[in-house]
Amino acid sequence: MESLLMILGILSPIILILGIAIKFYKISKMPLNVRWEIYPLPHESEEKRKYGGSYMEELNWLEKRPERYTLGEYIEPFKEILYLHKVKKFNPYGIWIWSMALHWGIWLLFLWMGILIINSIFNLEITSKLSVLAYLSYILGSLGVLGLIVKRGTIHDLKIYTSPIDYLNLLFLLILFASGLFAIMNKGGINESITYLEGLLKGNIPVDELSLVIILHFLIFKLFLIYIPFSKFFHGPVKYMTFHKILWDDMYQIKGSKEEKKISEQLNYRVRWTGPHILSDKSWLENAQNTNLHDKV
Amino acid sequence: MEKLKDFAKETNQPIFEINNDELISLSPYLDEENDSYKAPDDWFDKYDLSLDGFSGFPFINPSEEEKEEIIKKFLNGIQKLLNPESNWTFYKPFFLSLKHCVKCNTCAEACHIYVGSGKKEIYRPNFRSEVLRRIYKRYFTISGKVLKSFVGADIEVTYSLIRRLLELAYRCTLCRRCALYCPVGIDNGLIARELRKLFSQELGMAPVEVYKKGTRLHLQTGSTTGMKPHTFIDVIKFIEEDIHEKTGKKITIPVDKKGADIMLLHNGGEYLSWPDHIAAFAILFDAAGINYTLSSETLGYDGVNYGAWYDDVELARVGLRHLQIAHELGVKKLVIGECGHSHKVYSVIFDRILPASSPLWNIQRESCLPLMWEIVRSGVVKLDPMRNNFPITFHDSCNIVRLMGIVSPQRKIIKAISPGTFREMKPNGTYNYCCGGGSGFAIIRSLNFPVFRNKVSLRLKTKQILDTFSDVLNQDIPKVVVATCSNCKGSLRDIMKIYELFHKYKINYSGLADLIVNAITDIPPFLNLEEMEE
Repeated sequence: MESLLMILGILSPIILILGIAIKFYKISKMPLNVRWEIYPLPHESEEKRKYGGSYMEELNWLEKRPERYTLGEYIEPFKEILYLHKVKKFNPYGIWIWSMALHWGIWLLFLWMGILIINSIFNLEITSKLSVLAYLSYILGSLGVLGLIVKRGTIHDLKIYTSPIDYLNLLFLLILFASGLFAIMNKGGINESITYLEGLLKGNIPVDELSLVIILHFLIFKLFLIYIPFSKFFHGPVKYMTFHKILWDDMYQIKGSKEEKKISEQLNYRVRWTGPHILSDKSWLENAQNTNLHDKV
Repeated sequence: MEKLKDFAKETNQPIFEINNDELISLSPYLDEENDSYKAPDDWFDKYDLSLDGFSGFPFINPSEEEKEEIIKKFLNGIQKLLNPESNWTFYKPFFLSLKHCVKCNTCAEACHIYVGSGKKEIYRPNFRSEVLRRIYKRYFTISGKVLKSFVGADIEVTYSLIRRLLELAYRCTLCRRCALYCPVGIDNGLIARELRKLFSQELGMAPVEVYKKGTRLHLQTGSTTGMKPHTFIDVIKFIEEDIHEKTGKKITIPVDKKGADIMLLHNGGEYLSWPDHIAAFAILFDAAGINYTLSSETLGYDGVNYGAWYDDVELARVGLRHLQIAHELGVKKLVIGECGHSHKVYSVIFDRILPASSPLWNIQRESCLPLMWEIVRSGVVKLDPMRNNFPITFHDSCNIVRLMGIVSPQRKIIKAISPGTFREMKPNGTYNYCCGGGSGFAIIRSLNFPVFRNKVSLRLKTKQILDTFSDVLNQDIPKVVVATCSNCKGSLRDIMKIYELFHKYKINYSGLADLIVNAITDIPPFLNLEEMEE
């Protein structure tokens, strides 16, 4: 048992980081898509950002270097991460409050785990003062999950899009938060949490000294970390790709750039499609140049 | 609909019907009769109306063997959408949108069709995407093959399902407003386009107006209108004469002028439907001393590129030919006239269809709007804003604002050439609503598709226009909706006609160049707002 907990304790953050990194690498190796941005863009100049303008509003824009507010791209996501801005503004099903609670439950859970680790390394004895964060995390998280389960199960427009796996994912989170809450509500729960992490860091988790609920909670947390890259929970990290690399990617090609090289390669890919107007065994470039082609049949 | 898999139900009757009393209300502006439309009875046996009672595809129902073949090809098509080589153009955004939706349905009310229809489930932006996601899981993932409905892989591919998906791909105008609403960056508009692409590039299925009478006709004759080069020259002569008659000015419209600074590319439909608009550009550019040319080469005078709506191969073919023509003329710049999708194709999409070292890529591709603003701003043409002393609003083309970020020049122009009579629609700019005719809707005329478009797709824009002019509706003065897109103008024309906005409230529409020329002081007023152009 101890060995299993130790192995999972070491492997789970590695799998989380590696899993996300490998997925990001795979996405970055996908072909360079045609530009498909959507405005407003957060890296535009302050004036243009206000109304969704772009450098293409300027005469002879190719001869000018567009003014860019790069920091904007890194500030904008926080509106969503911390406030679920779009869900609040546009979602018609009243899920924002529950979704906020769930997401803050997760953020606070990571923060709490971070505090426990720092405390264990530096022996700062700050955990009791900050234990309110753990309570907040587990309570908010549990309420958020319960609210979302009820919403998904009772609102027809959400229900028909929800599969058993989606409920299972929510249930998994509920067990994570609820086990955490029970763990710290137990007498000495906070200290046991510290003991667990100290043990993990020292390579010796004193299972006999710990209550079952503490062991269970940390076990579920580790499984959660492993599960993130391979499940719906990856929707968080993937936003970097959907926004920064697609919807906010408005930069035109530069001669001699790696983008240009990629495009040149991609034009030589075989088309493969078999529609009546397509030469399946020819490349994209050959198909595009074939402007006189009429239906094959 | 209780379950998404009901979408595959075997029936020739519509799985959804549209009732007038469920549509978004146009009251108190218009009194509408509550007579729900129904297709002729014999159509239900002859054609496939099993989605919502409407169809833009006059295909005769196939035999059982043909159905089997269609199912096979449909699944092959999904495989090709998921292949990085055969779908390099959109593989990444498509794959991420297919995989990572959390089904929060935050996108729902972004869609003018979903809202306009009274929130019919099948028109929800996420509906068609979710059907495709479930098929993808069921046939292309191990978890879906093993766990089936537990992971939402519960839709079996049948001919009925494919046929409904084909229709459903054409119940979205690809305005991508839903993508703007999504907290995860999922693009359901793109998924609708990818479905259209699958049908065209693998099964050869596309509306006759965008394929046979669209890109095919464009490549064969030079224009989607069927206009050949010699006819184009005749039309130009006619427009020159018309300008002379109206303004007293003798203007020679430059055609095939080698070495001009600019090649101006209009939407070909303008030459036949709105020749005054072409005239407006000619007058404006002549007055401003712009060194430009039109092209009489096959394709060179019709800047539309319907491939943008449904087919990457056709998109590349038409676009490449346009750039070759501009290159042969030796121009520095290709300026796109008032055509929304053409704006996006040349300024945005074509940025990555060719490598930057290609001489074709190096022809600058720009919108006409910054140039028009420069003309107005510089004062090179004398303009009298009082000529435009009537309530004006502006309809944003989705392609130009949301998908290109050109929002400001057109507004600056209108404000400069009107005496404070401009009013914004709500919402506007990048959050605008589609005109209802985007992505081919305005030109698809087969079977009863136009009934769907007029009843449902144009509806929210109609309401928006009426709301915008609500304080002056009953005043006997012209009110003008300005649009910088030919397709949008087509929709506005339909709105004015079908909902009788001109007849009842004197609401008319105009291109932006037309409005500028109306303010030029040394010629008579250009617009006739007492009549509506048919």
